[in-house]
Amino acid sequence: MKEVTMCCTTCPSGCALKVMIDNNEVVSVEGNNCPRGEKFAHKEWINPERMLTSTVYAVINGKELLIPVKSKEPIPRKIMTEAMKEIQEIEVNAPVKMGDVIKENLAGSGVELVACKTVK
Amino acid sequence: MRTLKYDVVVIGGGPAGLAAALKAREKVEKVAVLERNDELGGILNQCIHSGFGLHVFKEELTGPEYAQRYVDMVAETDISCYLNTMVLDVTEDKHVVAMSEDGMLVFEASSVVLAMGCRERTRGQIRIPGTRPAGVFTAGLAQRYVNLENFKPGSRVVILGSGDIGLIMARRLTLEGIKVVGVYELMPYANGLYRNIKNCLDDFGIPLHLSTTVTKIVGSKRVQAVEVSAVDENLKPIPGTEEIIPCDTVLLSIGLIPENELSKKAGIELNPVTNGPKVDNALETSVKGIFACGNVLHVHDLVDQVTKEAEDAGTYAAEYAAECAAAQQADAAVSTDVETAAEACGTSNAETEIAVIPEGMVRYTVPTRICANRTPVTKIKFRVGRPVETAKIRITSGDKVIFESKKAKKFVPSIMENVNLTAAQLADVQDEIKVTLV
Repeated sequence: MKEVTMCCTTCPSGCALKVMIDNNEVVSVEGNNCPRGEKFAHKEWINPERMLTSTVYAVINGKELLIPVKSKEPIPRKIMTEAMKEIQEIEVNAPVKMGDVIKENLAGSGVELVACKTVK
Repeated sequence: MRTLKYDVVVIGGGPAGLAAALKAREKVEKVAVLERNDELGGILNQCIHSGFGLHVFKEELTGPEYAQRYVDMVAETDISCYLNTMVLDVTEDKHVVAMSEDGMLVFEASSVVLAMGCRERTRGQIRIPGTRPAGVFTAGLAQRYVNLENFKPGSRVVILGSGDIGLIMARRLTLEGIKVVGVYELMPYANGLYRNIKNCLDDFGIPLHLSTTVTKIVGSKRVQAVEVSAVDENLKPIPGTEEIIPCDTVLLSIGLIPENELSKKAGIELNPVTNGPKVDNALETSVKGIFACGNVLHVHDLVDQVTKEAEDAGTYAAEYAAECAAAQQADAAVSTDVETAAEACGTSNAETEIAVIPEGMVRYTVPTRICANRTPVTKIKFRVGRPVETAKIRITSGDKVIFESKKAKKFVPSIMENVNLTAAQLADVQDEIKVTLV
């Protein structure tokens, strides 16, 4: 049994978590002010996930610009670099609406990359 | 000059301005938003990271998404949005002079909401010695280059200051393949939110050096290196600890200053601690009918707080405008003397004002004065000057304790504190109110 400290990053409160690990498994979580802290600790121990946000290059109505994008769900931290490579290849040429899918299955994660802004 | 009449004129089309305008429009007919940029949304447009909206929308959004939701809400109303419109002057009688693509415009408003936001502190304000080469940017400028303009600020970056924008940029630059050598912070503690240190630095193995600062910038045309030094408890560099860090770019994340040039022109009294206007519990400045909210009033941690404050400012500004209109109408029945009508508005606010004083570790409060009956709840916001391990908030007036928090907790300068006082708690309060930690 060992004790690991973590900072829950689910919300800006940043609860300090005291996580007990036994046999490489989370057995107890303390210090969280809400149930999301416990969920976070389990994921963080096994396979940390993060939201990925970036921009994609676009030429819309003759105007060059960047469109902000995000992974619709958090993706595993270990595939961030690969996901960024895919994002850098994208070029968008039609008007987009916030929420439009820009790319499916980002870096094999099964998560969609979506637009964060409406550009007409 | 073309003259336009509005009930409420909002200066600034960022999150504060849009929230204030939406709330004001619920109470009065004619509302205008004046924005100097070519789009609404303010600085949120370049804050492409997520973490916004957890309080207001109960979900985690990126900056552009948060902005888009407000832009869409405003588009569904008849609020007039003037883009590419730079306000040059605001007068005490609430005339707002602006330069637009159609020439100069004068907005005659019953009430004005100041929502101009803030700007970043620069190298000049902290006087870093050395040469003046290219490659020294504020973190927000680098953010604009990378996220909006598709420019690469440099290849090897040192970040001075551990403010949230600096931390966010450390991650953003790393993801774009730019080397971030380290973040250097003068104070013995980090300024940004803990989750940003975790997600933006620790995740990418970027070191954070506390009690360390940049003591020299080296390079002739372009930055070639910085000299960093450890500092003592008085924040003075310790001789002999200098170290040269090769880099071609320096980002400064060293704080924000409310942008109050217009407020000064209008004769509004500022608080030297926050650099924002002094306001009462209805967010009214020292000039009647001019209200302030968001980062122009005091720098907030979260946009959600800005939205909530701005909604209050919008509501009170609209109530003021409605009172003016009612007073004018009543007056018009007897005479057409507009000046008497103008004097009549706000008379219900002419009650005794009670000063709110920060004491001890409390660095400032917003508001700085209150009229107990003016708002259903009096919201007191404050920050501490430096971290306090464990304490309780105590608010007193004379010998009377108006409020004391039940549980002791930790206080840090990077987190804004809120206490809501009810009318019952403020009943019979005559003496100035003191906010302190015990």
